[in-house]
Amino acid sequence: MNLVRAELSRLLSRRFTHIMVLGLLAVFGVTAATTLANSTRPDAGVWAAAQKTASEQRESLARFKASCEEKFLVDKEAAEAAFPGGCGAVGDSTEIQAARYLEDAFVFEQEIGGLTVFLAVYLSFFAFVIAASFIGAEMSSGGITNLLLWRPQRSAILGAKLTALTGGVAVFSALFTALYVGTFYLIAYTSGWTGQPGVAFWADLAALGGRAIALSTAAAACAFALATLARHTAAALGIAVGYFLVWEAGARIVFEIGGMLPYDPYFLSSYLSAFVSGDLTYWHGLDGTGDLVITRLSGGMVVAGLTAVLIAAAFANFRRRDLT
Amino acid sequence: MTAVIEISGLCKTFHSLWREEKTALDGFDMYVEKGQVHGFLGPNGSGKTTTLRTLLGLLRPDEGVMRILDTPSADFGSVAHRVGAIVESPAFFTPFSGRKTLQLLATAGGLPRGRVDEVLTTVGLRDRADEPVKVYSLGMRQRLAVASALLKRPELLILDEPANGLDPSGIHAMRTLMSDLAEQGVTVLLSSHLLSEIEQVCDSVTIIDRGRRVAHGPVSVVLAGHDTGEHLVRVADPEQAAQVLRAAGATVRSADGVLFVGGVSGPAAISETLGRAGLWVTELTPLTPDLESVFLDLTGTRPAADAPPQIAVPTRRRPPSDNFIDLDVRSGEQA
Repeated sequence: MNLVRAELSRLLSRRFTHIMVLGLLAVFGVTAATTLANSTRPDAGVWAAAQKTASEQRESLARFKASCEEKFLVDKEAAEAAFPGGCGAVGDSTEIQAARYLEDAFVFEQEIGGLTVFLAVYLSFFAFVIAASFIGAEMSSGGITNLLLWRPQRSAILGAKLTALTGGVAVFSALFTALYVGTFYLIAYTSGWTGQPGVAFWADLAALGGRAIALSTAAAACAFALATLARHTAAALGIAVGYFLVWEAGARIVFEIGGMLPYDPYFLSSYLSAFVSGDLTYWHGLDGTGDLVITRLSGGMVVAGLTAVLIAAAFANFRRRDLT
Repeated sequence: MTAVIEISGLCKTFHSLWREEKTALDGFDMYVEKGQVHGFLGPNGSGKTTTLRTLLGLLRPDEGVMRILDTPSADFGSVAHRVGAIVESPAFFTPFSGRKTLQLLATAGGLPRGRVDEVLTTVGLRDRADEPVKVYSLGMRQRLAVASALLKRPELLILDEPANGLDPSGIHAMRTLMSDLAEQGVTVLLSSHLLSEIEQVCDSVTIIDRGRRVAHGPVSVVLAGHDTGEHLVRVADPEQAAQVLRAAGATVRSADGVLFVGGVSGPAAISETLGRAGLWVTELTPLTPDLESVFLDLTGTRPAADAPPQIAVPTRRRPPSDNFIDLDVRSGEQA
């Protein structure tokens, strides 16, 4: 416990950590300021216009459904080919709310989901960089040697660093997520429209926030493991950048040109997306086999599995490595 | 005497996919007795730091037996609380103050905080303890490193180049500290390039070259083993003096008008021989070796007039050789 406290103190005292947190706050500040600047509290006129647009949309949907049902009555086979999802696939007219058509108003209930996914991405990015630097600097400078002369227990030392790092990142991410959601709620409350979020909405948002925190913590753990294996901050960052440039971008283009579809299951980003945003349908069953989906569960398992494998490799390597 | 460090047949080769393998230790032996201040000498790249890192569990040896405080080095963890060590220049976390650096180590080691103030005073950092390490000079960081090694009240203190960056006052303080610790019964293993310091403060030495021990034993005996019995002689007519001395059975070599005379029973024999020939000595000095000359001879690093010496390239393990000088006069060492 003493070791974990000492490592946490070191993590929180690092100038690089401070700079990265400032960067994170800057991104947040820009996002919040832009939202605030582009949002105005809807007045009666705006509401009336939104109600009118919503009403027109409902009528349009009703006409479409009526036309669709008529085609099914006339020629069922042709209609099934034209509307593979049936007439109900386009949605329910009762779901069309006026709030969706409020001009120049930030509607919390509609937009916080997308903003929280964005939060998950940049929390993970900053956590990855902070974590790689935290352990990479120790490995390359020989600082970890000092501690091993005091406590020659390599697994305990590395474990204390990992615990301090992931614990710190998880707590910070949780607090930051609360601040983030709270700020946007306040913006909507004062200069936009909060919507009418119910219990189910808040439960979904809490789960999404939880997955954002989990993803940032996993990113920190993976960066920690890569920097431990490669012994340098830059090496860990290079592996990550190299992966995204060569595989996620380059190989995707090659698959596309070669017509090797569907390729989504071969990319980590597909699983990350499924874990955070929900089931990812990457192929519609045009041949009658049905949609192919990466589920949230399988996305989560890939994230957890990758993290576990990298951490296990880092500990196994560090236990046996010569520290020069 | 009880052995505190016993190393026998230690071998360590560094392998790399990209570079040729390098043998840092090639059957190295060392024996340090309890209560000694033991000097550990060797040229750059000779294997000193590799030895210390291997002893402290930071490197895995290929072969050899090591015991530290009567415990196999594989169980170093069980005696680590009795060993204080610094290896090369320790990397401290520079935003922390010297005091906080030591407090974190004390916390990690379960030591009382009062001990931090004691060691800060011992190494002379008490009044600068609350400044961040990043403003410390090299010498101050070295003092902090020594303080961290002293924190545990070690029975065995292993210091790798502790005088690096120290000013003369700091070097003097370090020498006094070594002596005080030895008086308190602490065994000190001191790796250093400051040969005059080693000569002053150490009871015994081990000299390593290209991964092998080339000399070891009490300092006085190591020096005596290299005493050629030569004398420096200045006379008005060195050429005639050389002839006279050679005729008397002495060996004589001359350089820059000075004679180096060996093979005589003592200085009196030289002055008597030259006096009988009517040659009057203006200077007669016995040439007693110092540690520096012994070190330079044993390690082959004495600078030549026309070419600066180069650091040896450690490559593959060499075949066993018996051409090293064994000045072993210690008692109690196991064969």
